[in-house]
Amino acid sequence: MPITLSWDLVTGLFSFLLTLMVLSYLIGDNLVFRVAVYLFIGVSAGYAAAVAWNQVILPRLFLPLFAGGWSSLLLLVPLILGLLMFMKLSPRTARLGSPSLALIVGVGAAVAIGGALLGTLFPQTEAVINEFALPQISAGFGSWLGRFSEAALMLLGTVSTLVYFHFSVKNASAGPQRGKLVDLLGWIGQVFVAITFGVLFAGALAAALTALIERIYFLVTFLGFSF
Amino acid sequence: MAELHCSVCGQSNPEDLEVCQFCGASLLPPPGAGSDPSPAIRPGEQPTRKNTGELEHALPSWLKTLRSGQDENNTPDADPDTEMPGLGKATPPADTSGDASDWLAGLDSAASEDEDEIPEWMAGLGVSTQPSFQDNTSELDNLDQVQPDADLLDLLKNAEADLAPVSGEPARGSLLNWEAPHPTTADLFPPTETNLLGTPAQEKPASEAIPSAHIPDWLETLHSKTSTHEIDPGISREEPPDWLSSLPALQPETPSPAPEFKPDWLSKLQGEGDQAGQESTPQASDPAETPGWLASLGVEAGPSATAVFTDEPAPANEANLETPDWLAQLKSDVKTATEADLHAQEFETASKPFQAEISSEPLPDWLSGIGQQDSSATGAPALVVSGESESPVETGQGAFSLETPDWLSRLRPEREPESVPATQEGNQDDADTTSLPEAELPSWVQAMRPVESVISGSAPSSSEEMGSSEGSGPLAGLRGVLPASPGFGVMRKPPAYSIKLQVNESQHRYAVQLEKMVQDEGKAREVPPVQPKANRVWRWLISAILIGSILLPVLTGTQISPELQLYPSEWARTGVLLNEFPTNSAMLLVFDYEPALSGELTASAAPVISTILLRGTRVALISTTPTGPALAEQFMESTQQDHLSRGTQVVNLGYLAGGPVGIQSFASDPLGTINLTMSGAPAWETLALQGVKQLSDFSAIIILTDNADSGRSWIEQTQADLGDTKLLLIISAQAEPMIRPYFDSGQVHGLVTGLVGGKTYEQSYNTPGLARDYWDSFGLSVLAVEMMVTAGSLWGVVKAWQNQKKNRGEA
Amino acid sequence: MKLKGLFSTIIAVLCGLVVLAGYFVRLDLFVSLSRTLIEWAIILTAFAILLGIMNLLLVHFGKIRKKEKGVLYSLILMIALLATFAIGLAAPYFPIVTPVFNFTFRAIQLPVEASLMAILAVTLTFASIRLLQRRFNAFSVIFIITVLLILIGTAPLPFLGSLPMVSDNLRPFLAQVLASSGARGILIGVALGALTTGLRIILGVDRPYGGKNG
Repeated sequence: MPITLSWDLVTGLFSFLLTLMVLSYLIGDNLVFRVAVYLFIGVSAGYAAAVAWNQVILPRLFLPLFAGGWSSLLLLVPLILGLLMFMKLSPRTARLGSPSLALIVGVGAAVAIGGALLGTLFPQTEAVINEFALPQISAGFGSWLGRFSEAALMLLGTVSTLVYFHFSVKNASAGPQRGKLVDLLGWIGQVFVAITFGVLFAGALAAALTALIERIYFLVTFLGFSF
Repeated sequence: MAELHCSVCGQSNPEDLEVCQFCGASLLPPPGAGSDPSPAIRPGEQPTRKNTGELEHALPSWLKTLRSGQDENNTPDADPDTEMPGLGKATPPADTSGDASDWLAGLDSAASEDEDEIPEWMAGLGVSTQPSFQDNTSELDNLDQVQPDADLLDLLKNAEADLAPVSGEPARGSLLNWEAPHPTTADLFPPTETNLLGTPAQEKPASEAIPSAHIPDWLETLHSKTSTHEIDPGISREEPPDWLSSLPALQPETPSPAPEFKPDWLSKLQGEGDQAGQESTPQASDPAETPGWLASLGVEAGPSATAVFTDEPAPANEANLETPDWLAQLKSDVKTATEADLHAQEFETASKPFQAEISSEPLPDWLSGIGQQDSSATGAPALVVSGESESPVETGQGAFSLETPDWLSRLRPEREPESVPATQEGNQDDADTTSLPEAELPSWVQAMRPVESVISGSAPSSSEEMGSSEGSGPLAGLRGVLPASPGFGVMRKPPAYSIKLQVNESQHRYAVQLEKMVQDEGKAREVPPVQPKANRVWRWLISAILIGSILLPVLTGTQISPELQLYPSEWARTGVLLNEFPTNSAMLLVFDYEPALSGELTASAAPVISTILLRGTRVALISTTPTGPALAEQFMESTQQDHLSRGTQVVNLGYLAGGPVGIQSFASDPLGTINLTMSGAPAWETLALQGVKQLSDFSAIIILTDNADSGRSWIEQTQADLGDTKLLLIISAQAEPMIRPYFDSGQVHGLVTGLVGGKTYEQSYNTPGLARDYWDSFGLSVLAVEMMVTAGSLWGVVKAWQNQKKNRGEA
Repeated sequence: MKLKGLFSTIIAVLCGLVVLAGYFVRLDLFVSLSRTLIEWAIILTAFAILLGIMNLLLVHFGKIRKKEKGVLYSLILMIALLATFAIGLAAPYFPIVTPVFNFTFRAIQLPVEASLMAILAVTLTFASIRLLQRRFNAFSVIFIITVLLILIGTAPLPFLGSLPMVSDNLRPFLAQVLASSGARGILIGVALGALTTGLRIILGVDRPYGGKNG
């Protein structure tokens, strides 16, 4: 069967080669692996820069600015701040770029506060409480007990994990002493954290296995498609 | 025929005369001298013990009055306010008269008995000293706040240790005395005592000159304390000086002048006091006494620092105007190195060993350089004239000013006519000494003899150095007997600040802990020897097993993994949600995953998106990662080609920059945030987005993400603007634990997790796809991983057990 | 605080306060100001991407100029970066270039990144095998047992199917009760951390934009 050159074939071929180059790392670190990685970094950076220019700076800043209008003059502010940001490249002029970063950080901090409050703190705290919205005992004590136990366990896990993270400094003899209840809660929290990280690790392993499967599947498919 | 020589004018008088025929002075022997006048004491001589009790009848009338009037006119007790907080309640000495065969012992005990009444002479004094007293009282209170009793004692110990390198040996006795019971008024007097007796001290140390068994206890204590006091100009607030600790022992001997009886000698004394004051001033500030560690606090800083530490400008100006000479002289002396050298020998030194080491030398070479060192220095003034005390040292001295007798309180105004340049002082003294012959000290006066100066070998040769002679009265001709320090109520030790860091116990604990942590960080940890070759072999083995387990189903085409028998728990809610999507509604599809996990997410999302598109849903694609738009296009092309070909409306809104900020912007104002599509068309005029003006106009937002943070950002930032819009997350298996709480809380309405989630929908909708393709390889590779991990873990358990057994054997 | 830092701090504090006000106080003034500032922040974020990439370029350019070790890799990176950027800039205006731009993503980024993730599977497996051999304690045992139970319960095993009690009871209990409650604690802790950090920035205590405390 004659092989017709197409973008799909070239793309597949490059993908095949680069996949092999990267997987060669399983044998050991080598030149082709590094070449593939550096090529990937360069392409990724250039791609991101192009996307930032094409989809943010150009349509949001320059096009409205060139379109004219008094309201668009406000865009001079981000333009100046954006140009000042490049002063960060030199240590001598780096402080000129601080106001630009200050704007990003200030806005980001406010958004993070709002999101944390409305999106996580309030709803999740409420969820912990709602776990105790138990069915009537008359509907079945076994069911009620199971729900209650689960809610209590989730409350214990949440609180103890918080305690573990917020009081994770070791209790040194010379330092301030913590109560035994806090120590116990911290220990329990450590168990919950170990379980949580175990689940996270298992998920990461499953995801990585899926990626490996996908790559091997691609290699086999490409070989079968080409030949 | 014997002739009597007038002790005042020196002229010979007939034996039967009681009054000098030339000058009118009394020719009777001085009280206490009795009929056995001792030869003049020279520096270095030990006084002979005299039993002067039998001579009590020979006391002059004024002294008798003094004794009998002790009860009424004694030095007032320290006001409760003046008691140094933190030092504890002062208690009277156990017994200060144990060795008081001397009649003066009665003075001692009497002074400690009646301390409540304020004598009349104190009334006038109180006016002038009240501010100082109050200031010091408040400062004493502050001291108490800063250092509780126990801490202060600790600090004293530290101070004692700190002095060790300076004085050769810390004045341990002072610390012991501090801890011992002490009289209340003792807190206020040590400077006075020091000035009274210590200023003219030029003799050998008391330890050498006066056997301790031959002197009263209080004087013995005084000696050591006085010498200690003289060495502590640099003792800081943190390091209470030794003199402070010796306060109790000094109290009983507090002189209590008769309140109303003002003999001539007292008025004469005022003038003498001025002279002595001029001399004592450089003593206190003499750099020769400055310990080495205080060398930097030298003389040159004196005047300026004095100004700094003057609490009120007015008194300072007053001092300049009214008593300018001695004060000016004081300052100039402080500054003048030559003057300092001149008086260097007059200073008391540090502890006894130090004195003994240098006592035989006039001025050692190493001491000769002190003046120069001092001139180069530094911070603490040599003297402070009327300053607000800022340390326990000052506090004690300031409080002491309250006890200044009235005859001293008048020194200032009477000093004016005597304000002469320093160069004339010597001449005047010379004139005094020529006018009065040297007198012989009786034994009781010997007992009062000032303690040894620092350099006994270099005995003073001039009258300035010896202190002034009394010109009249019963002590006429005696030199250095009466206090010669004018205005010691206003002159005080300079505030000195320790260069050491003050830490309390808690801070010290933290410091120790931090130090330990730092040390632990610095220690090399034992790292198991790396075996790269073995690791590489293991890595090859694992790679081979994994790749083999994946390839086996792919190459053989066999289905070795059974279908899912149990759907995930989230399926119930999510399945219902998918079925409830309204037809022909707009849906936002968010591609927030990296290309790395595109395989998993493509397999997971494809059946779900396909199910939704079957209902004729319009789709808008968006992403917060730069590669997201490309991933979205690829996803749609590779998995949803059938729907696209059927005319499903899809629009790619492209890249949404800013992360959570961009999400917040889009959620609150989609139209203002995104104007154009990837192709440059007006986004909100496309068919896919018709009728969409805000976020809640979307029927659902489906977020494909491999990152829990990205998913959390979307959940958090869209929470307020979501309305009735459903939120569905298709996530990688690695993000499940962190996203599930949002699903449990109801913030997320649907959840599809990993390859298993995709397989669930493929299986339930009977649309086999990528998940089915990967399923067998996934099952087999997971099994391989489980077996390998189990084997490795068991080997780890065996290894740990062996190590434990080995350790027990070694133990 | 120095004057130069003061200006940046004022900007951060004011911007933060305005956006926060727009978040919670839905007044037109605050909302309008907040949206303007957020729009500016989005634009500046894009500039920040360009800044980072330019810094990457300069670093590797320096390596090439100094002929440090790995010049070849730096050269590859720079060429790839500049070429991709140039293609990307031209793509909107020259349709013929668009496939090339897509090619850089589909033929290079996607396979390399996915392959790197595939390598991670081997690495994670190796790490979990060695875990108890390197560190044997209660929490390591809990961790590894959790991993095994979750994996066993994730998918039916080949030839065996689902193990009773594991897939239907144990795994859900681990993942949806124990792990979920622990994750909830972590999330609340993260939210509290974000809250305090954000407040410190808005109050000017932390200045990570070049201030002294930053």
